[in-house]
Amino acid sequence: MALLAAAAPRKPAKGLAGETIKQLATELASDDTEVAVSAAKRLGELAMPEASLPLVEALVLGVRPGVAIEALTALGKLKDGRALPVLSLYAGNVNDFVRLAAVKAAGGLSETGAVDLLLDRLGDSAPPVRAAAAEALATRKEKRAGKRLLLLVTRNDPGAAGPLGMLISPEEIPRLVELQGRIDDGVLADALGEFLKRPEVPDRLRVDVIATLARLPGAAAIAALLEYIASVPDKEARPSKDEAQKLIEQRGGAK
Amino acid sequence: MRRLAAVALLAGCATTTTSSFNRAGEPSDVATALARYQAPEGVVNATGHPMAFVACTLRTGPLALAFDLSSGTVAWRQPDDLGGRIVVTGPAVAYARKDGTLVARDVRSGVLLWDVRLTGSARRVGYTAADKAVFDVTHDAGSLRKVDVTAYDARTGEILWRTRLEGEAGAPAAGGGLLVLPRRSQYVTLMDAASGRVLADVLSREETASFVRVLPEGIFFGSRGVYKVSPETSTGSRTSGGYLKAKLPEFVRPAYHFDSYRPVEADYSAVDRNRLLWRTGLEGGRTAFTDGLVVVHSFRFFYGMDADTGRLRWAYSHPRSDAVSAERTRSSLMFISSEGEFGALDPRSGVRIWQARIGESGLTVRGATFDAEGFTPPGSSGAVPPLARTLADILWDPDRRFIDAKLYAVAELARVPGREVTAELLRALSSTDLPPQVVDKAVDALVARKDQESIALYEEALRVHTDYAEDRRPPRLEALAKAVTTTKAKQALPALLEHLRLPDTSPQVVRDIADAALATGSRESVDPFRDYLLMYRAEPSMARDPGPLLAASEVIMKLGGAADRALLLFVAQEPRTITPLRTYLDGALFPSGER
Repeated sequence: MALLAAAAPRKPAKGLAGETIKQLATELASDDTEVAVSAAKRLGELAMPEASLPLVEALVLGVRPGVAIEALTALGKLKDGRALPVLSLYAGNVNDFVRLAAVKAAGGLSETGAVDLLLDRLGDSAPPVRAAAAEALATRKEKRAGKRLLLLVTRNDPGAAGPLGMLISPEEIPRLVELQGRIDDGVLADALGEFLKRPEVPDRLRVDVIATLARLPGAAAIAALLEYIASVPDKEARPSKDEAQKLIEQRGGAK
Repeated sequence: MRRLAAVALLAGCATTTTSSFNRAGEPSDVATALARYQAPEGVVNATGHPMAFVACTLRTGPLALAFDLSSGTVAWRQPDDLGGRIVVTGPAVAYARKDGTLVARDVRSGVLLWDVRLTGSARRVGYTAADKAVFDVTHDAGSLRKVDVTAYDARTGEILWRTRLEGEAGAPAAGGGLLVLPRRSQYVTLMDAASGRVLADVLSREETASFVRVLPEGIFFGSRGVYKVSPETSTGSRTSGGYLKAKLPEFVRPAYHFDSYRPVEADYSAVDRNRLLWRTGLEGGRTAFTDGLVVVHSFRFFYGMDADTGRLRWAYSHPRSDAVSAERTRSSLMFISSEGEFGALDPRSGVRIWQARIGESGLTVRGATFDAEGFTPPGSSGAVPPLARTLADILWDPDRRFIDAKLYAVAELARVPGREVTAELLRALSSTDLPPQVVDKAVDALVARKDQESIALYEEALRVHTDYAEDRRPPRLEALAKAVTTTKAKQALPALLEHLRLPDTSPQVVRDIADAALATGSRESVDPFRDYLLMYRAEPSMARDPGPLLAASEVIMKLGGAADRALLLFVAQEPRTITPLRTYLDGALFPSGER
């Protein structure tokens, strides 16, 4: 059982913690789904790497979907890299909710293999799974995700818009702006709005992006501008902030 | 304009003997009639040039147009709204207008020579032209059985003779001194074209005589097959030696010629785009299709079929527009497209050897009559395009009307060996442009090929995974799995097994993947199937259709070792395992109820 071997603890937990884990492992194997779900939750709250073994074991040997979701969520909390192989396996489960839990759990791991898993799931057919992978990659500032996120935004995928704004290189902004009219204004506004909030972006470029947002009708562009203004410290003066404020006033929005 | 026809009718004209079928099928009568037959050779129009006479429409309206095939130029055009086929003989072309008026025009200039209206009570059955005469067959409005045959001088419109025949008739054919008239669907009356005298009646005992046709090599009739008129076929015996029937694929409508009894086929119609093109000759003293070949014309496509075996010899796909009319001459196969483009194919190879175009913008051709016997198109036969390429062109033709043609193309492609063909079939498997039944056919064809040379292609195709971001879908996985099974392609197995770990892999395909694993006997299959079995063994939705889990168990049982059997035992006994799987494993692990 290669998957189990990978998750085997180097040192088993001793004492009270060890007893608790043993007890929860027994409950996790229960035929009663509620008992098993509760045990998985509690194992995740133990914040001990040793707690991951019974979770991995349960997943490897097979559990009902509700228990799998809870076990995967618990592994996400434990952030134990040894769980990556089983997370990869469950990231290919046919059940969307199970996959979503596996992807979220992988998002918290520092292993490079987790990044590959997340990049792969950007192509998932379920929007929530894609969105979870996109968010995790954006949080990790994973530059390799930029190209696939742009493809998703080109396909009008709202879950990819914010993460793309967080990752897209300034040189790629013209390609994003070119999508105006071909994708939903809300998706474009979300991506541009996130881009505006990044501290390293030259303010001159922010002004250009705000000019693009000005051409987008609807509330999404205003919301993006308001969020941007809110992200700038009160005392910091920026031409882009002034531009955003002016635009909001012209549209009769908040002052 | 002269209306001599009416004048002649008033003056009275000779009536001739009519048949009563009491001697129908008499071989000596047929022999006597055929003795008068002087086979027409070469073009029959007075210009001596090979011509096509075209019914078409321009922005200005409908017209008749003559095209000189030897010079590639329009000889003349005359506005007119044609309601029937153009027929040609010596000095004139003739056709019916939609109101029934029979019109003759000078073949050289298109100038109107004469026209004659249908009389009030007459309905047209059909008309033809030969030997400088136009023959019009009508029946009385009140009775299909009272049939009048009238011969007009092609140049003057003068009535040469008229006769009345009893019994329903179809559209005639004529040539070489004979007028041939199908009657009562069972008889073919041979008449002296010069006098209208009935010379013989052929009796078609074994199949309907729905068409008649006069060619330089003889006189023909038939429906599901072709009889060459002779004393031997005078009673329509299929075993007489003068009967021909080609073996054809299912999708082909076996229309050997226009149905004489169907008024719609008296005009250019869809039948002109869907029929068989053939000629005959003698082979070992017996009548046979020339070169053993029948050409199937189907819209834009021509297929050269071996008449005996039904095997495809060649295919031609005309780009963009339908070939609306086509004719097989001795040396070539002439056609015209709806856009006014002429072409000639070499009937032996299907290579296009000649082309010309009516240079009129906005032209739409409805149909055409070719007078091109003996015409050898200038130009030479180029390289024969690979059959697979032409079939692939048909498969990928964007016109969705041609499902039957595409199905046939796939079936024929499957017979052609080589990686290129396998690549085309694999491409078809992932296509969203092809009709589903065509993709299904490609699946079957791919599996049936057992193409060992293309295993690398299967492997490559299997590496394609569903990806929403890339808008990518893999080819039909079940087909690839079956192809791996039939070829026992071990090297493609890892890429196939990888699909067990993908969320978009349909549970229905797991059985096919298992079959491939079992066919190759590869132990590397055990791990992926074990992961699959364990991950889904407690999945309640699998209880409805446990097939995928049973397939996975079978692979583990047959290809795994002792530890794997122990694992199966655990799965069989673990209470969360879905019941159908436990039951199956109980039976499989303890076949004689030894528990």
